[in-house]
Amino acid sequence: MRDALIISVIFHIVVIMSSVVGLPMLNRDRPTGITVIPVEMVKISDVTKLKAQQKKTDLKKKKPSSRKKKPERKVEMPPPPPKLVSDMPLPDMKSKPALKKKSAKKQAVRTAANRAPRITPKSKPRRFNAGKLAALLDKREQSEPDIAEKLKDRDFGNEKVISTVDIRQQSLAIADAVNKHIYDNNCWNVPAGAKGAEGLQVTIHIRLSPDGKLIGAPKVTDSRRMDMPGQEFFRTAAESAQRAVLKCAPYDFLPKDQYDLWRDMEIVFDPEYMLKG
Amino acid sequence: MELHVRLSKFIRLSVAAMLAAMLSFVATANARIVVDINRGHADPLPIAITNLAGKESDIVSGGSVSEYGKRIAQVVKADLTRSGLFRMVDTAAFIKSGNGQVSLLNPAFNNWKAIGAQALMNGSISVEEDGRLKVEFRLWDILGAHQMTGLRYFTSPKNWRRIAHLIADAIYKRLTGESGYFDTRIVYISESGPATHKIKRLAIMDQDGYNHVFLTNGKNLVLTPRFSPTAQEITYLSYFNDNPRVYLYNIDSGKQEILGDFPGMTFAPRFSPDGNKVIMSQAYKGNSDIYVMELSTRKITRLTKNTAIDTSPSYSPDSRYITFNSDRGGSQQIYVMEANGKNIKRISFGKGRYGTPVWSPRGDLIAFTRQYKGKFYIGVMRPDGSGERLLSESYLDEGPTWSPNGRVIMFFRQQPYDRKGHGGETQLWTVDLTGYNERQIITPLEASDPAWSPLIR
Repeated sequence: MRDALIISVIFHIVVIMSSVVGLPMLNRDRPTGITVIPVEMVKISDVTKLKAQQKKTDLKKKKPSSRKKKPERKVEMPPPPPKLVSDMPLPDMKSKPALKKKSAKKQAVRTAANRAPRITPKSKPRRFNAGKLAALLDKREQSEPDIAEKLKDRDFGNEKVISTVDIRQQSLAIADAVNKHIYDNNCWNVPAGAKGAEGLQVTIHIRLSPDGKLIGAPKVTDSRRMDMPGQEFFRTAAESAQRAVLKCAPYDFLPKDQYDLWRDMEIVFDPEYMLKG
Repeated sequence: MELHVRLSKFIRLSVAAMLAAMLSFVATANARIVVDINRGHADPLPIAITNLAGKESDIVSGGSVSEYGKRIAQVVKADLTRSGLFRMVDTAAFIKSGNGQVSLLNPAFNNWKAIGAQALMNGSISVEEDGRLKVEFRLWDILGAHQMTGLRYFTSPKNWRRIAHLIADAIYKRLTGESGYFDTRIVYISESGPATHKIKRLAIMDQDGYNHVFLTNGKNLVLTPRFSPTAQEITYLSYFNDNPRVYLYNIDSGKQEILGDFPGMTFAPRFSPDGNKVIMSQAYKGNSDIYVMELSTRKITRLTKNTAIDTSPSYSPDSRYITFNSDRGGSQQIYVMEANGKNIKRISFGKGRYGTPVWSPRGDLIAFTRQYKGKFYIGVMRPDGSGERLLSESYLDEGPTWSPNGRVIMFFRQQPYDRKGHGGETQLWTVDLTGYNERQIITPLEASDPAWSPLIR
């Protein structure tokens, strides 16, 4: 009896602990293990302001270079002006950034640059500022009218190493493109006026073929709720979301070389911002 | 001991299985891109309504069956368009099959999609041996390529408008998730004559203005008609020998009875949600308070005892609360109290005067009239006073009444008088909760004080 009680208690603790630790993870739809984010985001955004800032810092570097070398190394650490995502220097890369060409005469600087990658990535997250990241994303959306086109033209290159950071960035760019496509093409008609309409969040799961066509019908993740009595408003919201996805197909603007990323997508339709704002 | 070992083994296996399951979930969730859509449009849904297919050769009273099919489709279109939630796809754009007909059972979804329709209604009409019409329709989801609903009705040809409203209600309900309001009626005060000698008659019509009938002859002044939420009955106030009386009128039977003679002035009688009580305000010796009367026993209970003017009471749909307006705080504002008259709380705090609060049938909002800086507004707020939104604005907007689904408000609007004393006409208008869809209801004469019926059963 006592053993059974102990076993029962242990079992319950295990279940509760695994629920507490595990279940919240189910809600996290984005990778959680990424710690190295900030600098690379600057590259993909192609924001001219950032380019300007980097150039300024370059100019500043040259002046103090004759006095102290340590600050130079640190200043040269930021990757070169925006190019491709996969150009970013990984901690173990020994290739030299493009900036060095300008100061090729100075051997000291070159050495410094070579040493630079030794700095551990752990120091980078300290500079990360979520607010800044959001601001950059917003700017990009405003300044670049067609993200889909941008994605098409961009060659991410097969030879280059794609880190989790790249995947994260590319995923964000794809999500942005789909969001913009659905908005620009008037696909989602928000079910306004229904009682509690602002709380009717619907998640749709879609599967796409490599040419961007839908494979099967878009599925409402909470489809059982649609048929429940008293859930007519949810059904309406869910159907409007399904219509939006169907109307906007095909999604052929997505970069084909990243098919693995967008073959399966979840699209969350949340009217709260529109109806309350 | 052996049991102990087995159990511990079982536990280890279970935990391992659980962890593995959780990890696989997490992995799956992480691998999938999540797109957050929080921007959309609030455009009307494009819907194609075809004429109900019927034989030209079948004749019933009032025309051919085919003609009735066209008329019904026209009324359905008008109902849905007026709601502001649907946009009719132009019939000229319809792509018909080889025989010139729209397929009833297998719509060519791609053709309908090509012309921008997202929903399609088609159907048929025929005549039965007993002379009744058999009307059936189907509603299709064009993008999803499936049938959403389908219904069949039998009726005498003279009821064709009602069938059309019922079809419109069914489509509205399937596509919006809430009940329609097209198979309803409006009772209102019809006005005619010069401003100083207006003849006021009680009148009733369908919500779209058709089937108009005068209920009183205009000899006596009639005011504030109100529908029973449960039956086709109305209360209204009429002056007989200069004494105000509250009448109860049954629309179906035409029977009328006096609820009672009340001392002093009686205003705005309104039914409770169960239809068993009438709540009203009475002015006695210069003081207006709220009273409630049990219809079965005619017993009257006083709910407010205050020197201020308390008027325009309206029950919440669950009968637990009453909203009314009062000037007890200095200016006329809206208050909410429990149905027994306790816990009175003020809920309006904006500038100007607030009056005629009416609780929405779905309970989430209270409609009101606001007067501020020489203008009148019809607005809504939550029962706790939050979320105030003004939906209409004019020289004089007053008397809000809710559609039975709580999505549209009807009110009357008076035009301003010019310098010569001309103008001042009153008409009925509707506005939906978005505030964008404002429409006039056409009446034979001037109109005021509307009251919306529940769905006709």
